[in-house]
Amino acid sequence: MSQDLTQVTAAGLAKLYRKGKASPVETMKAVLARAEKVGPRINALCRIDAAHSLAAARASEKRWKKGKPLSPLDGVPISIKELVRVKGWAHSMGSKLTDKTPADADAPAVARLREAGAIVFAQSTSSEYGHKGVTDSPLHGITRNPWNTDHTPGGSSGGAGAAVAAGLGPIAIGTDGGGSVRIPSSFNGLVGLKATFGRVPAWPPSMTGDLANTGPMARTALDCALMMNVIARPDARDAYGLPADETDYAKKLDGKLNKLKVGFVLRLGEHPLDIEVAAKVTKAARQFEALGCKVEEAPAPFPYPEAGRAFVIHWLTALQRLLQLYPEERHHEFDPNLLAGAKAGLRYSLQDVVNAQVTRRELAIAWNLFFAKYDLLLTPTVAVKPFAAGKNLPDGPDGKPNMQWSPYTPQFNLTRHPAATVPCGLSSEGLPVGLQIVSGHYRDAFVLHAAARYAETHPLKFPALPETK
Amino acid sequence: MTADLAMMPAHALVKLYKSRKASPVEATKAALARIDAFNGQLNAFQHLDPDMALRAARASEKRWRKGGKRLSDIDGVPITIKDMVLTKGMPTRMGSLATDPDGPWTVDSPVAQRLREAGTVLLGKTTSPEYGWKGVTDSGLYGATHNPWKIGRTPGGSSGGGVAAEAVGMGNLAVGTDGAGSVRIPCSFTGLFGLKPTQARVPLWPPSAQGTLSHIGPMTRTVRDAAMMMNVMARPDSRDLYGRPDDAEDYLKGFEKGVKNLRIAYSPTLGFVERDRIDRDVAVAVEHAAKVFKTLGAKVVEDSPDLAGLDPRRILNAHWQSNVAVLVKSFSPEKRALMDPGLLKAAEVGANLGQEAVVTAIHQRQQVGVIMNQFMAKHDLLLTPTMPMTAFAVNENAAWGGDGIDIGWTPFTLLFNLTRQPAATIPCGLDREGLPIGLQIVAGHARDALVLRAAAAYERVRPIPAPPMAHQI
Repeated sequence: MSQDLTQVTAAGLAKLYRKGKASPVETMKAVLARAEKVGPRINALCRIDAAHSLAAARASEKRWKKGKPLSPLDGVPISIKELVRVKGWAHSMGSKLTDKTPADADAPAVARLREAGAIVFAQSTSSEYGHKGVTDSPLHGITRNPWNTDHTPGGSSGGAGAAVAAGLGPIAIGTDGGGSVRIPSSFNGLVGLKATFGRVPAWPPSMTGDLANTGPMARTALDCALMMNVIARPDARDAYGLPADETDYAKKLDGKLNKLKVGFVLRLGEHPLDIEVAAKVTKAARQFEALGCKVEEAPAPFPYPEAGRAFVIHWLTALQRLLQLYPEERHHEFDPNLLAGAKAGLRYSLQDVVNAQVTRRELAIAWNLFFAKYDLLLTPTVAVKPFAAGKNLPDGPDGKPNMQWSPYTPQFNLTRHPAATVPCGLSSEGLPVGLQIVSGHYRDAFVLHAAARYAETHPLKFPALPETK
Repeated sequence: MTADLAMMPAHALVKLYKSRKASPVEATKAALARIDAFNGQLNAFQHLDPDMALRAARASEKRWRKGGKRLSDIDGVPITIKDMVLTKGMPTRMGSLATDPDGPWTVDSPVAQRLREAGTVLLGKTTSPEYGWKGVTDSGLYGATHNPWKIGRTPGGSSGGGVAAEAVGMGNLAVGTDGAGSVRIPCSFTGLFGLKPTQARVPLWPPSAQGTLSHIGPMTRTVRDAAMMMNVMARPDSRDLYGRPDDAEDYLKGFEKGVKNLRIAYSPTLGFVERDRIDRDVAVAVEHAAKVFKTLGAKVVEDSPDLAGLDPRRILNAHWQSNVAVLVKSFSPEKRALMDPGLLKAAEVGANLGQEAVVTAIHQRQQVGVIMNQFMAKHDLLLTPTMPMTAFAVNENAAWGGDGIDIGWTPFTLLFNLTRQPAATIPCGLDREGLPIGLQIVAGHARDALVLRAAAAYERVRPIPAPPMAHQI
C-alpha cells in the first residue's frame, strides 16, 4: 500500500488487483478520501455515492479474489458527466430547470460500464446543457482546473477532466458535441476520444442530435481503449448506432506506425493561435516522423469561415428548442450565455438551417477526400492555453473576447470523424497543451493507436493535483 | 431465343455466358429489341445509348470468352440507371428542364462506377419526375411514364422509368433511388422486387438535396439478382460522407437459409395508418402473405410499434419540403419558370414552415428512430403493406387526388427513410383489376442480408410473375 492508488491508471489498477497487491475497496476508499480533501477546491463532482461505491467495490473485490473479474475495468472507479443518464440520479445537466426526479434507467455507456464491473461512484459537472466550452453552471457554480485552480478545466465535460487529473477516479465519461471531451482533456493533460459518430451508443437522444458523442477521458490511451472495449457495444436505444464490431481496442494499440502518411494542419483558417500552442504542436508533429511516419504540412481542405458558420447554426438552432421546452417565466434561471445563444438560434431562417446542412455535407466530403490521401491528421486540439475560470471566452490577441478559441474541434462533430487529443507538453505556466489526432470514419482504434505511440515517447508526468501553492 | 435472354434473371443469364450458350452482345441486342418494341408506349427512358451499350457488351464478351477473367458475377448483364444518378458519358438531367443539357458528363457516381467496374452493360438512363420529387413519374422534360401492367396507369415513382423498363425486359437489372419510397412505390405498383438498403450501405454522391433520407437500391425481377447487385454496389466510396464501415458482406451467403424460427411482426397499419385508407384487396393479400411466412416456419405475431403520438408523415413532410425549398431557391428565376408547378408549390410550403418546425422534426426523427430500434430488438423482421393502394391513373401527382406536397399517401415506406432501416418490397398478389400488390419486409439496421433471405424464402413459394405485356413480343 506504499502506492497512492488515486494516481494509478485503470490498466495499472487491474494489474494490482490481479496480483492481489491492491483491492477495489482500497482504491475506492482512497478516491473517496481524496475527493473529500481536494474536491471543494476544484468542484468537479456534483454527487458522490459513497455507500453504493463501497458496496460495489466489495462485490468487485470478491470477483477478483475468485479470479473472475467481469472485465479489466472491474473495480475501477469512474465518474459520469451530468449530461449522461445514470439510474437513480437526477439527469441534472447543470440546469436549475431540469427535472430532478431520479432517472429510471442507465444510458447505454453507463449500463455497459456497470456490466463490466466499473464502479459508477460520482457525477461530474458540466456547463448547462453542455452549451459552452468551459464549466460553470447556475446549478453547481464554477469548476476549476487542478493544474492551476485560477484556470478553467475547459468544458463542457470540465468536471470529468478535472476529476481524472485530480485523481478522483482514473477514468471518466464525457460528452462531445463541439469539442466537449477534447477541450477539457486537452486543458487537463488527458487523452480523450470523440469516436466516430454512432460508435458509442447514446440515449436519450441529445438536444444537439448527431453532433453529440459520448466518449472516454483518461490519463492514457490504453485506459481509453479499455473503456472503448466496454462502451462501444451496440444498444437498441440508439437510433444511429453502428453495427457491432468486435474490435479489441486495447490490442490494437500495439505495433509501430510505420510508413503512415500524416497531414499536419496548423491552422484551419484566419483564427488566432497561441504561439506556445503552435510551437508545442509543431514539435509533436515532427515527432511523428521519428515514429516512422511521413509528415506533410497540408492546407485545410475547406474554407474555415463557412464551416464555422455551419456549426454555429446547427448549434444555436438546436439550443433554441430549450425555449419551447420550458415556460418563459423561468427563462431567467438559464445561464445568461445559454439564453442568449438560444435566442440567437431563433433568428436563423429555415434557409439558413438547410444551407448549414448542405455545407456540413460538403465539409464532410472534403475531409473524407483528405483522409483518402492521409492516414492521419494532426492539429492543435485548442488554439489557446487554459484561461481564467469563470469566463465564457478568453481574451484574444486584440484584447477583445476571442470567439474562435476552439476552431479545431467542432469540424469533426460536423463530419463525424474520430478525433482524439493527447497531451504534447506543458506551457511556460505549467499548463497542458493538447495535440488533436483525427482519422477517417471508423478508424477509432487507429486514432488511439497513434495517440498511444506518440504518448509513449512523450509521457506526461502528473504531479499530485491540485498542487499546493 | 433473344426474347428469353431479355426476361431472364441475371443470375441465369451469366450461367449461359459461362457455358457459352449466350453472349453479352446477344443479351444486349435482346434488351434493345424490347426497347424498340415497348418504349414507345411506356416512355421509360430519358436517354439511350445503344452504341455505348454494344461496345461494353463486346468488351464483356471478350472477357467471358477468355474464361475466368470476368470482372464480377454480373459481368455483361444489361442494366439501366435512373436519371437521378450521375453517369460518365451520359446526361443526368434529374428529370428537369432547369438542368444543363450540355454537361460535361465526366464523372461516375459511386454506384455507376462500381457497376462499370463490374462489367455490366449500361443501356441508358430511366425517367424520373423532377428531382424525384413525387411518387409518380412524369416530367416537363420527358412526359409521363406508363405502367406495363396497364397503359394509362402510373408505374409509381420516382424510379418509375426503371421499373417500367425492368418489368418488360428493357434491361435485366435496374438501379433506383429512394427518399421516401421511390424504389418501393414503383416496385410495388409494377410487381417487382426492390430494396431500399440501410442508409449509406450503398454509397451516394453527390449528396442528395434530401440528405440522409436518400438511398440507392436495386430493382429486379428476382431476389437473387438484387443480392448480386448489392455485392457490387454496397462497397465503400470515400465520397459518401455517411458511408458505413466496409463489412465485406456477401449478400448471397446464407441467402437460402429460409425463415424458420425467425421472429416476425406483422403490422397491417404500423400503428398509425388509418385502416379505411388501406385498399381491401391490399389488406387481404398482405395478411395472407404474413400467413405464408408462418407456413415457412417463422414465428409470426401481429404487433405494431407504439410511436407515442408522433406522426411519421408530418416529420417526413417537414424534412423534404424544407429541403426542396432550398433546392428550388438555388435556381435562377428563369430556370424556376421551367420547373414542375407541383415542385414549386412544395418549395413554397417548405419555405414557410419556419425553422422551429424543421428543427423539431429533426428531433422527432431521432425519437422515431429510437422507438423503431427498440421494436426491432424484439423482432427479426417486420411485414407491412408496401402501399395502401395499387397503381392509379397517370398524370396525377399523388393517390387520392392529392397534390403530392403531402407525401402521406405512402405512409408505410416513408417511415423507414426516417429510421434508415433496410426495407424491401416483393409482390404478394394482384388486385381486382389485375394490378400488383406489394408486401414490405423490414429489418433492423445493417440486416439487409436478412431482408433478402426472407424475401427469397417467400419468392420460392410465390414466384414473381411478369406483366402480360412482357410476353407480347
